[in-house]
Amino acid sequence: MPKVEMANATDVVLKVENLKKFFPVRKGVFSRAKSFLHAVDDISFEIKRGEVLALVGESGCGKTTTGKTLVKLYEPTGGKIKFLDRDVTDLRSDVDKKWFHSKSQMIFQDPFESLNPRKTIFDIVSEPMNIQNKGNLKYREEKTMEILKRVGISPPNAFLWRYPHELSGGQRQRVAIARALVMNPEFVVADEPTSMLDVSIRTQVMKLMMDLISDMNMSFLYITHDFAVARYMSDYISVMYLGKMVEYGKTEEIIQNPLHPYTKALISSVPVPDPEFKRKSIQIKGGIGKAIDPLPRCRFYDRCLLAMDICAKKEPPLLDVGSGHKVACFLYDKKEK
Amino acid sequence: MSNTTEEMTASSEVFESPFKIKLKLMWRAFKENWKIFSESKIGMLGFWIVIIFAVAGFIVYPILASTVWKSTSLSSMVSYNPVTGYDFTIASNPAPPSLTHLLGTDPLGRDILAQLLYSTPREFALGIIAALITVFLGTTIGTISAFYGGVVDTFFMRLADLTLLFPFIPFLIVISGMMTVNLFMLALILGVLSGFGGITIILRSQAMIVKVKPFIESAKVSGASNPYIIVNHIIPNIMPLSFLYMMFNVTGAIFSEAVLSFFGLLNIRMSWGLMIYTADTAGYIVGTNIGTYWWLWLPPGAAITLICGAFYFIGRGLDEVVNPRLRRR
Repeated sequence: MPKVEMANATDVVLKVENLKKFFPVRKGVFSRAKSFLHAVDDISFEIKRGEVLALVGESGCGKTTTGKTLVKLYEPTGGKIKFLDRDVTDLRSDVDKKWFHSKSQMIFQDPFESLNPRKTIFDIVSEPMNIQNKGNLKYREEKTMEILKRVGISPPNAFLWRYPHELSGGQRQRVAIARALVMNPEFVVADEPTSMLDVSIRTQVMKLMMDLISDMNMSFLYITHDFAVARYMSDYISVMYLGKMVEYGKTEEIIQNPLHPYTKALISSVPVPDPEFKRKSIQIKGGIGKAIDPLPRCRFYDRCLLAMDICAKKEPPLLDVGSGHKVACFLYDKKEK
Repeated sequence: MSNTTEEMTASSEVFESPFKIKLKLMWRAFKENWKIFSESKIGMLGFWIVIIFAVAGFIVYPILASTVWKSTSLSSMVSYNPVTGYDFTIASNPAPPSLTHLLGTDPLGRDILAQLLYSTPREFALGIIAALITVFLGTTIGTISAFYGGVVDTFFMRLADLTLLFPFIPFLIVISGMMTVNLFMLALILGVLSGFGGITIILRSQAMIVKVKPFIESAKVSGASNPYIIVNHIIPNIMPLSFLYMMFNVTGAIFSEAVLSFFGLLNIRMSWGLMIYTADTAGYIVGTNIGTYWWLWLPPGAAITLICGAFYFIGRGLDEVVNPRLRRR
């Protein structure tokens, strides 16, 4: 048994090293970009098989950009992406591209926009197989029916030749999930898949995804702004602020013992369904800015209540403070303190 | 469960070409779309009008031409052809409708019905060829310039601006003065000129809206190539507009032909516009003559109106097919 555990522990599906994605900010039509928006700036993490990593942060902090870069919707500006022990940062040949795109998938936020309104459910769900030229029509039909049944669209026959506008929001998101999972991907990015759904169906869809993750043994990157959702779904949480990863650790560890001032503030804002419960609410100043050519200092410096002199001088590194809990803050940096 | 998976793997080994799959899906889609189209009353009305014209032009005319309207020898010197010849047996031309000439004759003694039917297939060919060229060019160029942007986009959009500013009718007049413009040439010129113009701008803006939708990204994540996305996602989404414009363009081409023939600028044996031109130049649609000699202008005029309306109605019906939201269900 320990051998199997060892094998599982080293089975890293996705390894991201110093990933960077900058967008040029154009001033004029003909002038070359002089400044850059640092949407994702130097983040590193890894996801093992069957694990869920939640990427938490405010809107505009680069969560979605990270997800889209990982499935190659954007070309990374810098850094390395290793997928199943292969470097996929720069996919050149068509064979490699095909291989990568058959193993990675993305579930989008808006189920009303992520399904082509002119395609039937069968076309939508079987499209990945169609693009990858997998199997014949009969196989595709069977596979589509199977996956639709699996995501709770039943009976699949009744839905196969319908159009997305004939489905409810929850059903559409189930179809989107079915489409993402029809090729049995190894790695899936889920970009706030439940945020557009009614609260009543939200938990159903989350439970469905949990079941599918454990059944199909996938690795998931779950992007959300909601700590409650992250706690329900994920094994690890990574908190992002303005393109930087500020804290990383096991889900319960982060929630019970947040270290970074920003994480503390975020968690204190989650409502607790207990009227007796009094929690010290942490207020932070101002709002999230834009990381256009940021100064070499802590990105949270302007809003931090515990800011020190050193925070304005250099960027805090992401340091391990014990048992895999990492935090990027000088408060916990023993050398600097 | 294990049984079904075994079956599935077995069936996946049987190779079926993607082309065959596409064909099957297309046939299935066609059957479904026909069902939806046939439910639209206005579309079916247009469809039947077009069918009636097509039957009249492509089937009835050849039969009649080889039986009733044969070139008959009146004497050893003169023979009579209903489309081009002069009927000497009638005392005065134009003659009102009678049993020998169901829609009467024109000032040159030619049978109106024969002329009408003779022109029908040519009008069809002209309208459809011009519209197909226009829509093909407009859709392709509009989508490509929207999808790739940059230099391609700028080039085609400036070209569209130029085409829009282009004086159409004077250009055709000059062209017809320089060389003999036959129907096919006219269709080509009309199709290409309108294909680079307004329709491209409209379809491009529509494609721009579609291009940024998440389902495009979704396809990209699955590994779709740019041509795949253009053909499978963007073009189907701008098809309703394409179809509508195709139908407008059939109408537009037939109108342009009528206008040009009316001015006598085309080198065509016979067309509906030319029939009205003949009546007009002989002075039969002036003043009170217009009521007296109604059989000279009413049949070709009605034919132009009906066929143009019918194509527009078909456009409406097709719109219901390609735009699921218009369906009442």
